[in-house]
Amino acid sequence: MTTYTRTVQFNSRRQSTWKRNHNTVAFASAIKLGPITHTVLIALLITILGLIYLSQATHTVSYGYEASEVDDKIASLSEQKKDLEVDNARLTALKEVQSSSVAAAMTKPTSTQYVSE
Amino acid sequence: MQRHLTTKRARFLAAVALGLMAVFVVRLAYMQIIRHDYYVSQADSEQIKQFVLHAQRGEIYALDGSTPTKLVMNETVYTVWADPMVVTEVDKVVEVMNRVAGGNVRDNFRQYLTRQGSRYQVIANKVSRKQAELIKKEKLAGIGFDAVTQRVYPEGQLASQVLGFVDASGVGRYGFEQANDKVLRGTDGVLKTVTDVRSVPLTIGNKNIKQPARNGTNMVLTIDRNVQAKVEQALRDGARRTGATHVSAVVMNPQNGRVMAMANLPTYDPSQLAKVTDVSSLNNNTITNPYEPGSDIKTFTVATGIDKGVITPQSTYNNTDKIKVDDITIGNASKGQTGNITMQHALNWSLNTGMVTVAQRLGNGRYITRQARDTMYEYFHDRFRLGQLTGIELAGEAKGNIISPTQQQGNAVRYSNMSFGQGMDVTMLQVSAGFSAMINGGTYYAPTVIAGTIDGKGTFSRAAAKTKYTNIIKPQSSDTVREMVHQARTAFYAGNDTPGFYIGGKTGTSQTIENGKYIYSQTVGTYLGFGGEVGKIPAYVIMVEVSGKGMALQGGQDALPIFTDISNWMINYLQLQPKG
Repeated sequence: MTTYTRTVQFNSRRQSTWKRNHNTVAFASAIKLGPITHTVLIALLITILGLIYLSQATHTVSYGYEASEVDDKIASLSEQKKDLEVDNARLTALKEVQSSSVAAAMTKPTSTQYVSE
Repeated sequence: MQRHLTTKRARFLAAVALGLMAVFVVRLAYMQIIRHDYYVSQADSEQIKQFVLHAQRGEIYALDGSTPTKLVMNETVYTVWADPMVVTEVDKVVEVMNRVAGGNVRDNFRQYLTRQGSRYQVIANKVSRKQAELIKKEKLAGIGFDAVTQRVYPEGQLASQVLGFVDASGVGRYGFEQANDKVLRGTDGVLKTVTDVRSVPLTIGNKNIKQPARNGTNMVLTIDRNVQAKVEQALRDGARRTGATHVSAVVMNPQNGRVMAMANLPTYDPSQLAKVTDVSSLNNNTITNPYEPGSDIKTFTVATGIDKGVITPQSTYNNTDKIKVDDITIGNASKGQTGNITMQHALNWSLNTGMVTVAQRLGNGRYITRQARDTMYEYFHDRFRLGQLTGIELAGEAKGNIISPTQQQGNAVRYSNMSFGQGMDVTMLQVSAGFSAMINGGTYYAPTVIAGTIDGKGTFSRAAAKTKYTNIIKPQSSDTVREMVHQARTAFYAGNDTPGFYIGGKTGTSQTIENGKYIYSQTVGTYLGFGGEVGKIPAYVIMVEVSGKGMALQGGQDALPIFTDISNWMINYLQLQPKG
């Protein structure tokens, strides 16, 4: 005689109040999780969430460093720009212009003629 | 038995562990709950730092024609310091500093590198950014840098007395810098942020506050750098020619009150303040130094007489070279023009008797009555605004003094002297502004040095027009006086003028007062005049003053050539069209 063993357990609900369109059978997992497993899982979950939070926070801090570096770069370039502006102003100062080779090559006009508008 | 003992020990250990845990829990609860605020503030004080975001001081521009050009800028320089407790390579530091910033190091700075008990010793000042970068590359232990902003002057000492300077604490002193310090300075900002151990600001945290700095306003002056440079050169030439130790000049546009140039000798270099030995050279004498203007004021007396209708250029009086007022007798400096002469003649020869006659005619014709004095005061003080602050946007402006007829000293003798420029104290700018109103048709424009502002994008916004007072004198009176002043120049002094233009002016030579007495051997020479195209409102007004300790300097001989030099140059610069 061949015997069959049930791999899936069905819990009959026939004992309970039967109503139309209600399932009379429900699945129940064979794996039972004890209270220690639950605690470990929750602890793991909390650890994972904590790690995710930490990694994100670290990421944000690293963005802060990047931003700080960019700020420093901007400040440095601004300083360079200002230096160049000062150089430019010095080179176009009246004294520089007057002592330039272009100015030295200029001559005074011998006569001036005016055109009326 | 053995098992029982083990269980007992285990329970004991568990109890100890539990007890320890309880201690930790209680301690943690105490720290985290009861002392929560305290520890949070402790953490904040270490982690949160506040940084000042320094506002950049506004730059100052001059005009180059109608285009703004930089006159005062900002530059970051560095103070290099050493921490003697960290410096290890003294010889290398000395070598690098001498090689890179030899001109900026302190004398014998090696001693500061080994100074005991100190952690901050300045070894070099005003090191440029490029130099600082080269020093940083050497990675010298114990060497630090403090960035400081300083003013730089691309045009050197041009207009230095107009500009003033900024002191070591960043406060404007003298001139435009002091008068407009608040606008130029801006407002510092604040950055409050969580930092790491190296004080690098981090972007995390909900306590970060950033209030950006508001930079100072970039101001554009009405000073034209070309005119200013020419005037300064003309003053140097004039001082060399005459030997005068103090020379000043103002050039302004009589059609709007804008000052195109203001210069004085001796002057100073604002970037070399440590070399200034004479503090008075910091002053802009054209506004800070009231003086007795002398015969230039005769134009004001004539304008008053004409506007009140008591004289015309052809009105005559009998000149005897002296005239009595109360118990004093007033004489002419130029003698011999006696007889029945016109007011134009009196102005041409700068005769004091003519001006006292005008003052008398403002009264009953024979005496400088209270009515005459009230009229003169009204014109001089209230209309031409002599003896009043002009409101020019520069520090240190002096008010001067015009004695009112309501005062005991405001008697006939005082007003007879005032008719030819004595017994009153005014500044060159007051005289120039009043004279501008006299010859421009009768509108007084409050003098100004502000042309506008420049925003962060470089857009130039022109300043709103300043206060003006119309009908100071009638337009016809202005036309008449202008022509009289032109004739006064043409009579003797027009020889070196560029032909085809309408130039006028009046000399002034005034004695100086020391210990309450006039000194005839020490005189101040002035020349006040205008120039422009024939038939048009003059394009410029120039006033020149020359003086020197113990020197008898003359308006016609010493101040006038400087006026002529500037005037002829202005005609070309402003591209004025000659007649004929």
